[in-house]
Amino acid sequence: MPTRLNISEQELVARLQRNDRVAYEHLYDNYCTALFGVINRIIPDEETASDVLQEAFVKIWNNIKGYDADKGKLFTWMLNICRNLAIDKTRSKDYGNSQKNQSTEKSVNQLGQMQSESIKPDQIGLREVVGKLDPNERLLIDLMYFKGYTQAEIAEEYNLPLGTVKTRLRSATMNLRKLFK
Amino acid sequence: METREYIESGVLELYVYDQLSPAERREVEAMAALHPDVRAELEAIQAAMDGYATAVPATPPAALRDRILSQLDLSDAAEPRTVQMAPPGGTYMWLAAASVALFVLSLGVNYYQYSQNKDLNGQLAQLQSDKTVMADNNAHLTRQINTVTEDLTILSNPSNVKVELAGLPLSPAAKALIYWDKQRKSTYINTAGLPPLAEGKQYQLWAIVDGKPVDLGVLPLGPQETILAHMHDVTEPQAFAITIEPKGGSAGPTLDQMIVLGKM
Repeated sequence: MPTRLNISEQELVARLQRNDRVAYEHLYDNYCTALFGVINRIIPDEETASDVLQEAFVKIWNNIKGYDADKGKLFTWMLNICRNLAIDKTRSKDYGNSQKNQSTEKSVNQLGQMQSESIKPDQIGLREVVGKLDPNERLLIDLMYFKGYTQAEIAEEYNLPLGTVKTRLRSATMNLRKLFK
Repeated sequence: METREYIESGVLELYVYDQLSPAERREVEAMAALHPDVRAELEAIQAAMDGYATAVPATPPAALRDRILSQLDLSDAAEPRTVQMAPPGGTYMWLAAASVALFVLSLGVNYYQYSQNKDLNGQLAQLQSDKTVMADNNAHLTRQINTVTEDLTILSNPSNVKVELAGLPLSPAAKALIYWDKQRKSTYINTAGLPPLAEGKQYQLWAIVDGKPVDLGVLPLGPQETILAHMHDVTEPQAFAITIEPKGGSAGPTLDQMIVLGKM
């Protein structure tokens, strides 16, 4: 039976900070699919992705006292922890060599592949939404957000002026905002 | 508009993509706290990104829940659970009684630990507040030492000429001390011996050069951290005098309001 608490985010944070078991059960039961989804988009392998989700929860538990609601929502904070741990994992030495030793072009292909592989019937809505994004813009967002590339790295890899990457990133994010309000 | 430019610089996107240095992040956070339109823009970008990132939910393996939750050192204290007991009667009666006794005992232990914990938390809070007070004291003492050191440097300067200004009929007990550096021509004054002034009045220091008064500035109002006040430079003073003037000082001295005078 999943735990569901009817409480404000503020109260949830307070209970997490008090180390309350029920609050952590609630956190897991309500956010694990969203968080696991993000990790899974970066790391398709379920076992490695599970390890990352576990590391993320330990990190959330360790750092919840330092969470500052003024700087953003709890969910965004947790999402960033998961995303950063997953990106770190793809860069670590023990991450599968077959997955690691690829040029960006290959990982771009893999990115497309990853998406089509992971899309299940109930996620067709996403394919429609994502289909509305310009493929170049989507690539740019995915490289930065899911792969942790810097603008300078993208500019170098794709032989684009840094200014162009910056302008495109802004317009890509603007278009994304129209789709995800 | 200034914030428009800031928003269009693309720095908010980089914040959301987590591509800024800690100092740059703090700047964005400060801008968002100061300007509601920056904050609104940041929240909109963040919401879009959160939505895109979580557009493909995935169910983790069922066993992961227990694996993760058992790894966290969590406390049950906040949510008391009901205790299941065997129905009373028969041979299990004594077991039930024993478990009740144990439960009561464990409540007692819990309460003891809880109150000890509370005590420790109280002590910790006290220590932390003591620490803050001591840090404040320390900062205050450091400031005082710095100003005293500055004063001492000025007082021990061998090219200083010390001039005592003595009280005039207006206030015979008043006095002040001038330290005039004959090499650098700088003037310092100790005014601890001057009486308090009426509201709207301020002391003003004059040097007499070639028989004419030269304005060396008004003395600072209110309590001072330093003993010596730094006044304007003067080249060949023959005497120093202080007058009582309207707040802010006057262009020339009000001679019947002269309170102390000292010759070189």
